Amino acid sequence: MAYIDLENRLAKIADLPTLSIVARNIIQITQNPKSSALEVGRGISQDPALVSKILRIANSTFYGFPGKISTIPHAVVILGFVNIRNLVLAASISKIFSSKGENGHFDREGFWKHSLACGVTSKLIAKRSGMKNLEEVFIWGLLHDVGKLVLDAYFNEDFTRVVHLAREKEVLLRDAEQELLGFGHAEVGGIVADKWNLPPAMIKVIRFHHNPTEANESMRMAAIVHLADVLCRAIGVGDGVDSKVPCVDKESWRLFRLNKQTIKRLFSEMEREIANAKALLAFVK
Amino acid sequence: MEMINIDDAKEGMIIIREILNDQGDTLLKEGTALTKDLIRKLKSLGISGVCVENPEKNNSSDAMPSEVSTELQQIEYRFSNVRSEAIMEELMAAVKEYITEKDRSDGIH
Repeated sequence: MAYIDLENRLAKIADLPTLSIVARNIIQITQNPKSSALEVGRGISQDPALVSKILRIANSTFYGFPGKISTIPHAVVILGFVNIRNLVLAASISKIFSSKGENGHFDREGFWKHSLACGVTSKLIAKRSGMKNLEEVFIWGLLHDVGKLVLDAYFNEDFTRVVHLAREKEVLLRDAEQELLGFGHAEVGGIVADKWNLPPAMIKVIRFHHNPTEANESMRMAAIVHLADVLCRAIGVGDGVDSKVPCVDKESWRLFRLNKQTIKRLFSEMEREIANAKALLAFVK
Repeated sequence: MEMINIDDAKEGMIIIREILNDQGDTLLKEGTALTKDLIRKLKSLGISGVCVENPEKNNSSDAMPSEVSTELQQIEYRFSNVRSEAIMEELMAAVKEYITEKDRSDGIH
């Protein structure tokens, strides 16, 4: 049983590609409250493929303005900085991994379906608790499992064994990762998110989505994504590797005052919103 | 309670008496819904028979539409590792109720 030691692992992760220059620019521009829609538009325009992708998704029913947005500056004004940054980030990340690690063992489509469902569900949980920045919450859910893409692309042989073990023993992927590698996708995702200079809260959410209480000041955010992950699995939107439901973190459950009735209402909203978000699947795939 | 031959076991049947190996270790807890993989594993371990809930019912059409009952069994399978936790039991009950109620309202509309 191979165990990759810490040094070795970090050396491998240090080779990871960075986000595209356009994506890095956009993250920076959108984080500055003084930036204008024009500046964001100019940043995106440097990548024509991205321009057409963003216009296509901006005009989908997901955002509620079908066929009305014809230019990038218009899209920035209508959708807002955070939505635009989310789209650029998702497009850039899916592009990095699109050609790597595709060996049939890890179901990419299943991965993105689960990620999208988690994004949508995170938003619904946040909305219920009265939070305001819902688009920010969406991207936490969408990217929480990014470490799995890294493992599939850069630790492919090990990850293939992990996937097989999880399926064979019918255990959670994270347990198979611990058994074979001694570390997991949450840890790897956190390291990569840090390398990509993603916002600190997003890094914490990715790193601690299995154990939100360890996220300290970001506990509430990590708890939202943790709960979304559990709820998606409960209703059958697993990640394409294991379909088991992990045990929910009790503190997170109490924090959001979930019970049978609220959960049933959430399920109904989830189904509607997940169906709405299908247009985004073509965007990240 | 009825013991059936492992060859007659079908996906979705619910185990009602725990299955032990020769050493007395539990292989499957009662309440577990059988899956194709589990049946294959039991056979490979030399288990010849299992006690399941309403073996005839599982073979013929049920009062509940089969699609829903299959979904309910899949839910039990997904939760099979965490059922000792009260919160998870509550969550599982919520999923089951949601699926059953949704099916009923789909039937009405």
